[in-house]
Amino acid sequence: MSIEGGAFRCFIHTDKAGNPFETSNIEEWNAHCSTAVEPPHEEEADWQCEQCGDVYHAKLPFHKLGADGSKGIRFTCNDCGEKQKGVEMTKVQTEQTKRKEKK
Amino acid sequence: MIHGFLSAKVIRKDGTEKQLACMQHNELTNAVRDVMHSNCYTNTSTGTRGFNYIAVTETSLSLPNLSATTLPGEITTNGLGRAAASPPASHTTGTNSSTVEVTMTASGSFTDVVASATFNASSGATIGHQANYATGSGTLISGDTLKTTWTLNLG
Repeated sequence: MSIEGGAFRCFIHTDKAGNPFETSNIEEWNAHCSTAVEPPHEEEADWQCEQCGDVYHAKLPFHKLGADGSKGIRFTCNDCGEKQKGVEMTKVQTEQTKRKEKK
Repeated sequence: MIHGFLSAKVIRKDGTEKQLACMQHNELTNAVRDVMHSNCYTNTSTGTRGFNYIAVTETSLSLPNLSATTLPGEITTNGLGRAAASPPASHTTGTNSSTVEVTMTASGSFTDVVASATFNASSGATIGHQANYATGSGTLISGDTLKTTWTLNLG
């Protein structure tokens, strides 16, 4: 049994036989996910604004992995900062956001 | 890979049985893979938080150690204490990959940071992934930064 992390796999852009695209090469992975369409890849994240504390669920276009593994994603709350191109943010209802909205 | 098996049988009133499936390989859907990554890595809800806290240590890990419950020598001070992912942990939909990363800024001196682990809360909690760096940081002084990125391929 393997106890190590595995290769990158894409399950929505498969080959004709239905096998997932699979690679351990970051450049191949970036190239695949950047060019694959119908449907395109998205990044999803749950995120809390440091300034106002509101919690969001964010969707944004695919970000390539950098050489250090980082995606360099940055979020700005729509209430506290400028709106970001291509980012869809849904405010998540928490006790904190409910209290703020009641005020 | 995540393997699973399906078994099922009909037991009729007359006592006869019909085996419909016996440890037959199942299929993990794309939708549930995305949900699993949310639950395991990107979710930040209190009580059900995923493994998106990162901790570091100056103690080299003896791996494999699947029974680990803590990160030996976990640093808790001078800017390198356990921290929530920032930018937030993200998952690429339709794939098996999520990214959890954080940049810590030292506010004191460290001799050699050599390993990291993920947790699902800011203190205590369950240790998730653990690994040694390929090489230690060497001496860190106040103002130095340490960026740790976990690329987590599950499923």
